[in-house]
Amino acid sequence: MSREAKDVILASIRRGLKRFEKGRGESPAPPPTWNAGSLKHSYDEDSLTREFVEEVIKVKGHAEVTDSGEEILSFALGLFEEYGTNSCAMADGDFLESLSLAEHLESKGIGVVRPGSGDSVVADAGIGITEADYAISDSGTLVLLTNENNPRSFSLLPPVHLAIVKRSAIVHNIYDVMEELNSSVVKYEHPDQFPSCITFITGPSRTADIELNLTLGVHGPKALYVLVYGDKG
Amino acid sequence: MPSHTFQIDFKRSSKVAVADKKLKRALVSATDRFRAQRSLAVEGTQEWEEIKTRAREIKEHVIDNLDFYLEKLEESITKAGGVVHWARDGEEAANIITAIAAERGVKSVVKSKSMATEEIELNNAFERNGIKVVETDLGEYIIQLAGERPSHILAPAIHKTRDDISKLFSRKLGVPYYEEPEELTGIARDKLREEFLNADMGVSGVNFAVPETGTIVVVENEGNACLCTTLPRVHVALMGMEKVVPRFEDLSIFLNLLIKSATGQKLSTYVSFITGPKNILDNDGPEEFHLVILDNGRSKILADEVTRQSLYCLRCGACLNVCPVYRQVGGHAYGGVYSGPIGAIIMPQLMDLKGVYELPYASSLCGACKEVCPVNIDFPKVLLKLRSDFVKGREKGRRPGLSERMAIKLWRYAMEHRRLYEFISRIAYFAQMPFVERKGRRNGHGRIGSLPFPFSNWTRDRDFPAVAKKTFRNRWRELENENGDSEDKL
Repeated sequence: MSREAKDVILASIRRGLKRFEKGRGESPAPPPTWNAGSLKHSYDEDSLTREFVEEVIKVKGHAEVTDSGEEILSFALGLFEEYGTNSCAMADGDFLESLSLAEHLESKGIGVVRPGSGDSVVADAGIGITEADYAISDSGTLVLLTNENNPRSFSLLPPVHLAIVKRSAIVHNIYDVMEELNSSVVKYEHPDQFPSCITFITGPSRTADIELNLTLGVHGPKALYVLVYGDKG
Repeated sequence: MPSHTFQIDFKRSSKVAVADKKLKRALVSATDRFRAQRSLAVEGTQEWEEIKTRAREIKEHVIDNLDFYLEKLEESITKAGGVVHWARDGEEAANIITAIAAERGVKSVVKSKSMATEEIELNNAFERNGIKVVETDLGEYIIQLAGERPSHILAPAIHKTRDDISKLFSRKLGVPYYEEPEELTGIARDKLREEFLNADMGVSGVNFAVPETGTIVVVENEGNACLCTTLPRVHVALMGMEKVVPRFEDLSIFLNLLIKSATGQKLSTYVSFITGPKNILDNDGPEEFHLVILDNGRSKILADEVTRQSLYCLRCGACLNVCPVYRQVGGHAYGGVYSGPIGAIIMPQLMDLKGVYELPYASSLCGACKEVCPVNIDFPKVLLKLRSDFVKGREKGRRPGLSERMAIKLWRYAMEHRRLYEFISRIAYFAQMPFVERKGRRNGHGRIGSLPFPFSNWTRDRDFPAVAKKTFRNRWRELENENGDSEDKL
């Protein structure tokens, strides 16, 4: 039945376009993608970082620049205190690993949920900790690629999201990030290398469905904290 | 057999809407807010006009090669481990989706906002099959609890005040009467969180689909679409077949245009690029991914060279917010699926319903919609084409009566003969005297609220502006003389 529907739909499209050849035509050449060249400037990491932090704050997130692993640890510990929780769900990022953040938190009596745990366990965690693959300074956006180390739900189910961003991962605008993604993930041959989900996150979850009142945390996190780290350029 | 439960009676429902002061306040403040936010965002985007033009070219190209791109999309999604289904009409799409659910023993479904699922009345289909379905976008959740239909593409519950919602929640959810939006949102969060964790299937719409990679894109602010497409073991996405952009790279300009036109955000809170089901090693995400490609009249739209551009629409809602008609009557008058200018052009083309041919007349042809459209849809042109099709009886509407056709012929004759026209205007000026309402009469803004037969049909649903004392030509001549004088004095 589905075959039949497909054929009927494709035939009526061809009829509508007054093209009567059967089967699939030659691969058409689309108009060129828009070239963002006119918007390209040479941004240094400092100004990208500054803009990124400002924009995250504009979309009701919190953002800070950190210089050391200790600073990140103490910031995280401060959050656990502030939100009165002692559990988190932490992704397996390289940098998070290098800080031994999980071990440090566990030594302070904080339960750390790792990738592979069930959704309801993740949902009960107080804070979700992730490492962003890219960030966009112009809009204050985090870009997260799903893989075995980075489950989708860690940035989504816990009521607070703490994301770590490398300074060198910040690009200026959406054109830049799409170019990056296009030259990395799109070229993968094996379908399993292509991330099943790429999530762009700009501020905490929000709604304005009740009389246009902006309310944070409707389904996703109510609060978003972003820590930028890395050597100064 | 069409199983629509939509009812369109634009004249009657717009009268009800215009009389509803509460609704009018809500509509004006919502549309004003969206407009202001959009303008700010557009002003801050130096490349706006350029990317609009390019997006239009790309959309034209896609629709001109839609057969190729849809097959390519199917191929890429299949390669990524997903399954593609094709549906000729809404009923077939609903059957496909309910069958996927039934075959997998699905008991409960969570849904994120999707106009296409409204179009095919998917919720009714689930309920007929004994499957529980819960809308999870807060606005849609409110609408579902109230048993109503969305009144705006982006803000489906703008016609509801917080008092309405407080009462609704306490009646339907058995919670105390809370009035603060934070409290109400918190209640919905808790109720829906449970639904998310227990659902077997998630249904989403599609903002864009990319044949190159087999990726679908979902744009939202609440995070509910992320949850719908992450937690349940099956994800089904429904897309109108026009939602294609050819390349992954093209998403940058389309996201930019869609989001800024819709809410004025630089990016919405969440944008998800979903490619197939979860990968083997992934620790979460659905085990199955299905895409249902919906025709439902779209191939008919595509066949008409003038109305084809209706298929370029990104569903941003910008045209609703600037439309002087929508701003007065709201979304329900259009039948409750697509409303405003975009509703006026696509509803009559998608749905063969009584009353649907009134919608292209729900416009003053002012062109504000065309101006804000991020893909330059020429709304007035399409509206006129649809009206003309209707009058010519090509559509299943009613041909206008003999008297109306004669009147239009006479009107046309007079318009083409200036002296006759001026003569008639003079007569009309005096003849109308007894009918002109007192208000505004003196300053030349008089209106005629009701005329005797045979003109009574005209004034039944609208006022007629009174014929002015001086004709435009006379006033022009006077102005010219005045200016001439002043120039002489220089």
